[in-house]
Amino acid sequence: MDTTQLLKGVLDLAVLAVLDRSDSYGYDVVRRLREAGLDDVGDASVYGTLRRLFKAGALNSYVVPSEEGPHRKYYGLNDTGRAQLTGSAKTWTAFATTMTHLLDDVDKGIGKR
Amino acid sequence: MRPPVEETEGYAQAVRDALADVPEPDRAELLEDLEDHLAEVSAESGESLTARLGTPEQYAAELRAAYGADAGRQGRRRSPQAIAVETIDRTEAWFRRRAGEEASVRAAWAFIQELRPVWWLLRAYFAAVLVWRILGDDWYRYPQNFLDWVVLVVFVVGSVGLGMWCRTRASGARRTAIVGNLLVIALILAIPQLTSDELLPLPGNNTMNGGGQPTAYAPPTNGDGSTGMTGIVNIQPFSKDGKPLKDVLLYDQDGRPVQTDYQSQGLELRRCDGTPPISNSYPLALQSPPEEVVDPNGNVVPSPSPSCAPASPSPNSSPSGSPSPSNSPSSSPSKSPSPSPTPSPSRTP
Repeated sequence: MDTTQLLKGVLDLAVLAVLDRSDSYGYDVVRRLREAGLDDVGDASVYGTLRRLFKAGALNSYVVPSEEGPHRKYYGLNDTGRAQLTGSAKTWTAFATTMTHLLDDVDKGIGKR
Repeated sequence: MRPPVEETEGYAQAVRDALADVPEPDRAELLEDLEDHLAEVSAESGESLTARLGTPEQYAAELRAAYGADAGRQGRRRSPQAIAVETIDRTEAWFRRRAGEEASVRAAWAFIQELRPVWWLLRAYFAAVLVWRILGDDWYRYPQNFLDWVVLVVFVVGSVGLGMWCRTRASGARRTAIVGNLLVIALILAIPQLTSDELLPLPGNNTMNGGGQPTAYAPPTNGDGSTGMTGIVNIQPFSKDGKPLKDVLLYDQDGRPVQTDYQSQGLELRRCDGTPPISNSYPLALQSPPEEVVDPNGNVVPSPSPSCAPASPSPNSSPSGSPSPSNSPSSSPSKSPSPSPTPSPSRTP
């Protein structure tokens, strides 16, 4: 199954979860998502998601000057973002649990093979 | 490794171009740190930007999609059809929302929905009227011939079938039904406008219809082409000092005799001496047609006549239609009247 299709539904949640650990800027969010195992995540998708969440009022942002590289625009969760993260996480957990139950037998089948 | 600056700039420019249709505040927001991002990517990986990120167009599409549907939708030029569809849907949703708020409106709406089949028949009828107009060259309220009947039946069957079909259909058919119903309503409202000339009781129109089938909106006519007065059966003229007048001849502005509506009440003019009565000599001597009285001996006798319609001389047939009152004041007609009681008025439009 193409993980990019699955990612579309949960990219918001993934980005919120990354920012919940610490504030971050665009490319760093991409990197951390990849390190977490979401290899297929697209750079532009992450950038677009960050902009949309910011526009929707779930994030605050501030610019951090840097000596060597470019100035970086950091994003962090505000209260709205944290509430969204909590709600989405619950939805996801319930969904994932359902899917896991559904796939229990399939897992056994795979194990026997 | 040094980032290839030219490549970064070219790539960024291509992305910018691909997002040229996004409205300005969103576009600036989206492209804000594009160059920084590209520089970071190429500094880190060393492979070409296209290998890592896809083509600039793919990058732009991904950015647009992740940013949200509205950035793309506002940018893309939409067809008039799409705009119309959205407008209809939005209006319908608005009405449904409003209807759901108020309990009385909800009840009324439910009632109106129960009347749907009536509407199906109505719209079929009005559509048929329009086709009859095309077929028959005039506005008719009723089918005039077999073909008209066929048209009506086809429309009724089609309309009811369409209505029942739409009830089970999704938004596309419903949208079509809404537009179609609005068209029919507009047509119904337009029919009186189209026939407005016939709404006026023009003297010429009655003779043009020539005693055929009644046309829509034509005023009621009497057999002789004079204008009928609906609801008025008789006229009782009085002089200004309160004395009842007899044998008053009344004419309209065109010199035609004024006729009352006594025929619709089942009454007829009493004849005197076998001479034809004058139908515009007021008060009229009216009677019920078959009235015969059986006397206690079982003999059939004619009912007593209250008075006779006077056989007065033919009215002055000048087109001004003002008969001189001295012409026929006598209550005992002695002269034989002219057999043609209706002067033919000269028609001037």
